[in-house]
Amino acid sequence: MTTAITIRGLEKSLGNFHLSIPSLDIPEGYVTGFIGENGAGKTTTIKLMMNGLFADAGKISLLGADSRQKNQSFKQEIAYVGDRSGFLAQATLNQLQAMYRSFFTRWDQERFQKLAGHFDLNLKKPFKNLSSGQQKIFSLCLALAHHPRLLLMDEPTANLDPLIRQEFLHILRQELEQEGITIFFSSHITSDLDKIADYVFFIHKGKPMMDLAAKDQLMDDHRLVKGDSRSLTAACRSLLLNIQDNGFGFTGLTADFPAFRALAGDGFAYDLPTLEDVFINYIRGERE
Amino acid sequence: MNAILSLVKSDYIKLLALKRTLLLFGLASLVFSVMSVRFTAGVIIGVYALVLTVISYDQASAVHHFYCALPVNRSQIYNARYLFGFSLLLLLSTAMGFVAWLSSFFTPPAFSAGGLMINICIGIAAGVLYLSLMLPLNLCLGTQKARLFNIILYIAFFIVGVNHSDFLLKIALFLSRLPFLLVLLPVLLLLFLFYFLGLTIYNKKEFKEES
Repeated sequence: MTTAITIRGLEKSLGNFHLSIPSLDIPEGYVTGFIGENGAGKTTTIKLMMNGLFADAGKISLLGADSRQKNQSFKQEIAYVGDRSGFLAQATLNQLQAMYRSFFTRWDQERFQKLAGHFDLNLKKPFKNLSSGQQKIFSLCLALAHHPRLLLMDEPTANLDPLIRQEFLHILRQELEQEGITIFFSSHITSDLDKIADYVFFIHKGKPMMDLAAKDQLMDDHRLVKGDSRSLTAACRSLLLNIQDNGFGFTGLTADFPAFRALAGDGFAYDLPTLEDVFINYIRGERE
Repeated sequence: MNAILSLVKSDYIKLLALKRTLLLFGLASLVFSVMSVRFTAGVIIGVYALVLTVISYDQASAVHHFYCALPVNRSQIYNARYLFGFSLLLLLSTAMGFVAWLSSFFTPPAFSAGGLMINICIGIAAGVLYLSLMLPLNLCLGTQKARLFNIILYIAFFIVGVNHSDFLLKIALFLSRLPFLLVLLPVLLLLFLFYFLGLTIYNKKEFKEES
């Protein structure tokens, strides 16, 4: 499997915050969700990838090119949708696309018009008159109009209403099917990644919580276990993360469902977790 | 298109988008162009307002997010800002000179033909000097941190431009008698010194939210 993003020994300090990612390989042609709470280091990692910040140590490669190299022309094949666009608010959408397109040799005006038309974007409107959802959609239209191989997005669906969010995810799915692009997508809204991600990478307080995992495998391995606390043996407890006892019984997450079931049998209820369940239980488990 | 030219093009598009600023200060400069003693001040007003407006609005809109998305490096961003500033200075001085020449057909001329050329040269020289100080300061520190320097620089250049044009003319006449290189070299030295110092700092600058 070829990799779109490679990280080795990445270290970065910003005030009291320290980011440390020893190793990460993001496969090409898939959607990878980058999950973490606010302040976990998602934006810092993406800014390091896009050469906005400089690493204290380590190396990041994007599509085989060193992200720090002087010649940044490899970004012709990369699109970035940040948490902020950086666009001049007073400029019209037509003016912004005129600015943007002249940098990209593979700019496809027809494709841009089609995407903008799909979302009913009025290109004569100033950027500041768009809702925050429309602004994100416009950024996505620009990003996709130069046929990128890799799309990096930082919290793209934050502040979007559910309808626009669905449309946004629909376009991403289409891109994946038609163009086969790699999508690296940071978010703390895990329900979006439940729908679209092939791989997930969890980050917490600047450190990876686990290795990059295939989402389906992760879901197969994990189960939310519920039942009577009195039936829970010490061996079973050792296979559970974040056991929450209440008056009606307990809830916990197991990361090794087959082993737990073999040990505990069918005396408990086993629910398929969401990515949010996995993420929250790991964080709470770590705190305990 | 070359990345630097694309960046310069995007700066001019931003200026067009900020049409009120462009109209207000563009017109103010043109009004100053027909007043012989205030020609240099007109150039400084135009360059200060138009270049700094684009830099300030960029900072307010966190333009570094836009730069991160583009296939450009920091040197290209820095060089493009210089090219934008100096090309604007040339355009503005040329337009002001043209308006001054045109106005001489309708009103008693404020300049002789030679006087107009000297005024344009002084305006360009003052603009070059102003930009070579203002650009690296604002690009490296950001407009918020550089605001005090901006005020001092603007007031100094504006006051000299408005009130002491006779003084500037005397300097220009004195300098015109010296060998050309002797005049040009110190100005170029200052320009390149600030340019390379600023470039070295800007290449190491991280794009944080206040950048």
